Amino acid sequence: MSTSEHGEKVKLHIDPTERGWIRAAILVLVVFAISVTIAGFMLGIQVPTEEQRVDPRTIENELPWSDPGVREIVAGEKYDVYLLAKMWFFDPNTVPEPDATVEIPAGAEVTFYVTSVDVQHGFKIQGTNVNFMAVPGEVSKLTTVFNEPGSYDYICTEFCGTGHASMYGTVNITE
Amino acid sequence: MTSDNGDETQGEFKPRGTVAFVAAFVAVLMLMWFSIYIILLSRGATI
Amino acid sequence: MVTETTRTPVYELTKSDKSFIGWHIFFAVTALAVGSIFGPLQALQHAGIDLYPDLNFLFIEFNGVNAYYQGLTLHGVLNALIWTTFFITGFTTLVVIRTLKRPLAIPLLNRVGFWMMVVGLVVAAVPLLGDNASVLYTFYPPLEADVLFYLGLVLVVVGSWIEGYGFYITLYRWRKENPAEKTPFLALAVILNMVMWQIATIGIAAEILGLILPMTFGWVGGIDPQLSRTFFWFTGHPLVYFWLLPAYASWYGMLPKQAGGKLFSDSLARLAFWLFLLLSVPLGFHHQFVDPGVPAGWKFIHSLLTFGVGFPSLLTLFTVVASLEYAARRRGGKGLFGWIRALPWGDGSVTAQLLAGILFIFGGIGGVANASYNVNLVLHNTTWVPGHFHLTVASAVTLSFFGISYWLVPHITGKPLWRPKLAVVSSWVYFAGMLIFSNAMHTIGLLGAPRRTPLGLAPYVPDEWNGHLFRVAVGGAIMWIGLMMFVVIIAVTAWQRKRLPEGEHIDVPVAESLDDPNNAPAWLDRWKPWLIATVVLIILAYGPQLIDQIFGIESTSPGFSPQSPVPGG
Repeated sequence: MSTSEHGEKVKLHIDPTERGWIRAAILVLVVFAISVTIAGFMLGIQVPTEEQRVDPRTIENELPWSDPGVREIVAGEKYDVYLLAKMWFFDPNTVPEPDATVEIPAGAEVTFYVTSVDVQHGFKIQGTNVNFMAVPGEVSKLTTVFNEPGSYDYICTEFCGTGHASMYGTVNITE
Repeated sequence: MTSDNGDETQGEFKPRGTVAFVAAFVAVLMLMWFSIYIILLSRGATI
Repeated sequence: MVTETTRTPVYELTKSDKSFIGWHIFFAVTALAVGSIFGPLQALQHAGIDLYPDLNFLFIEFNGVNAYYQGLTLHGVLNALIWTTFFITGFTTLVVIRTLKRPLAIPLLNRVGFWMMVVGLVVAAVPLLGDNASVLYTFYPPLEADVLFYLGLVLVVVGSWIEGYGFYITLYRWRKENPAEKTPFLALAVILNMVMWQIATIGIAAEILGLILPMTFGWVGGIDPQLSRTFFWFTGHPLVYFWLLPAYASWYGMLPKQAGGKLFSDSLARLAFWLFLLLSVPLGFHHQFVDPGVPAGWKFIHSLLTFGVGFPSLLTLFTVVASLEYAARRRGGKGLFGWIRALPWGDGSVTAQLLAGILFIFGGIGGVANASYNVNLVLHNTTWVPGHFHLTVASAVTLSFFGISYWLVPHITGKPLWRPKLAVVSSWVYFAGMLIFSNAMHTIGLLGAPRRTPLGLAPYVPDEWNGHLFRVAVGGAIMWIGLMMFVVIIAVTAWQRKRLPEGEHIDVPVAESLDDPNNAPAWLDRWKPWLIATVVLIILAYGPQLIDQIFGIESTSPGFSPQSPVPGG
C-alpha cells in the first residue's frame, strides 16, 4: 500500500509553516551561542578551566595551602586568595583574616584559589560571578573585582555532610 | 467524538494559532534569557 | 487506513501482560507517594518551620539535621529515579505490545529485568532508611554510602537494561514479521528511549563498578572525585531525556487523539526522536561548567552541543502545539489564541498533560539558560536548579505521567477512573503549587541561595530571601496536596470493586497522523546509521577528555561518611 517501497526515494516533507519555525528556532539558538561567546571570549567572563592537580591527602602541608589566606601581589590592585574547603568550614572563614595586615580595597582584582581536603564542596561569592566546585585533587580558580566596599559572603553550595548549611565565610572590602 | 475525515492533510490546515503561540514563546524566551545574561554582564569578568 | 491493511491478526494485551504492567505502576506510584512526603518537609524547613523532629518516627535513626539530608536523598532517589524508571518501563511495555500488536518476544526476560529492579529498590532502601546512605541522589564521591546503596542502584539499572533487551528483541521480531511496514511512531519512540538509556548508563556503570565499589570494598585506596563526576554526568543529563521522552511520546502520539485531532507531522516527530538519540549523551560537561578539572574549551563545545539538543525540543513545541490546534479547530475553536479554550479541559488526562506542557515551557527556557556556558555562573548550585528541574522532571514528566495514568490504570484494570472530576482538579492544584514554588526557587536562586541546603538553619540567609522562602513553603505544600489527590485517585481506581460496564473498555489512545507515515523517508526508520553516528559523536565529544582524566590521575581521595570529617569515619 505504501506509495513507494520503504519510502526509499521519498524526501522529508515539512509543512511550510513549520519550515519557517525551524529557521527561527535555529536563529534563536545561534543568537544565544553568539552572546555567550562574546561574554566569554571578549568580555572575559569565563568558566573555570584546568588549573592544577594536587594531592588532597597532603595538600595542607604544602605551601601555599599550609598558610591559606590573602597574598598582596600589587598593592591596591591585585590580590590572590587561597582557601581550603573542609567539612564543614572554609579555612580561613574571613578574608582578609582578622589579624592580617593587608586590606583588599574596592576596585582591586582578586583571584580565588580553592581546593578541598576531604569531600566535594561548592564555592560561591554572593553578588559576583565567582561560582565553582571545590573538588578534592583539583584547584579551582576564578577572578573578580569587588566594586563596592562592604562584606561579601562566600558559601558552600554543594552538599558536604552534616554541617553543610553553616559552611560560609566573608570577604571584607575596604574603601 | 469527532467525525473521522480521512482525506484531511496538512495542506488544508494552516496552524495560525501555533505560529502566534511560538512567536509569543520566542518573545518570552528572549526576554528571560537576556535578563539573566544582563545579570551575568553586571557581575563582571572572571579572568 | 493504510497502516491497518497488512497487519497480522490484532493481538490484545493478555491478563498477564496487564498485571505485569500494573506491577510497574504499583511500585512507581508507591515510590512517588513515599518520596513526596519529604518535599513539603523540605519546603517548610526553608521557611523556618521544621517538622522533622515531630516526624522522627518516619526515620529508623533520627539524627537532627541529618534527617533533612536523609529525606532529601529519599526524595531524589524515590521520585527522580524510582518513580520515573518504573513508570517508564511499564509504559514502554504497554506501548510496545499495543502498537506492535504482538506479545513481548521473551516475556521471561522482561520479568527478570523488572523483578531485578524491585530487588534493587529493596536493597537500596535498607541503607537509605537507616541513614547509612544520606549522600543525595547524585552520591558524589568521596562521600561514601553503605555498599548496599550502590548494589541496589546497580540492580535497578541492570534490570532496566534487561527490560530494554526484551523490547529490542520484540522490535527485531516485529520487523522480521512485517518487512514492508514502518515501525509505528509510538513503538519507535519508546524503544529508542530505552536504547538511549542503555548507551547513557554506561557512564554511571563505569562510575559505580569501576570507581566506587572498588573503593567501598577496599580493593583500592581511594577515588578520583573529578573523574567520578565526569562519569556521573555522562549519564546525568541523558537521564533527563530518559524521563522526558516517554512524555514527549505521549504528547506526540497519544494526546492529539485524546484531544480529538491528529499528529501534525509523523515525520518530524520521528526526526525529533532520532535527534534525541544522537544528541542526548555527548553534552554532559554542561553540568560541569564550574568543575576545576575540565578544560573550558570542552565545556564550550558541550554547551554548543546542548544548544543542538534544544533544537528537537523546539521542533516538538511546534508539532505538538499544531496537533493540539488542529484538534481544537475541529472542536470549533476560534481565534488566534482562543482555540486553546476549545481543548477538552474537562478530561483529567488531557488537562494534566496540557498543564505539564505549559510548565515545561518555563522549564525549557530555564534549561537553555543553564546550558549557556558562562551564564551558568549566575545560577549554578543555587535553588534556581531544583526550581528548574521541578518544571522538567516534576512537571513535564510527572504531570504527564499523571495524565497517562488516568487512562492507563482503567485500561489495565478494566475499572473506571474514580472521581474523574477530582482528576482534573488534582492537576490544577499541582500546577498552581508548582508555579508558586518554582517561581520562588528561581528568584532566590538568582539572589544566590544555595541548593541542597536547609535554609531555615543557614546563618547567612539575608532578610530579602524570607518572602520567597515562604512562597517555597506554600507552593511545596500545595503541590503535595495535588500529588496526594493523584495517588488516592489511582489507588482507589485500582482497588475498587466497581468494574467498567460489560462491553466497555478504555483503549490506549493512539493518534493518527496528518501525513501518511508510510510516506516518510526510509532513513527515519533505520537504526544503523543513527546508532553509528551516535557512537561516533560520543567518542568525539568525550574520548579525549576521558583519556586525559583517566590517565592524568595523580592522587586519590579516601571515602568519607557525610557525618564525619575523618576519612572512613
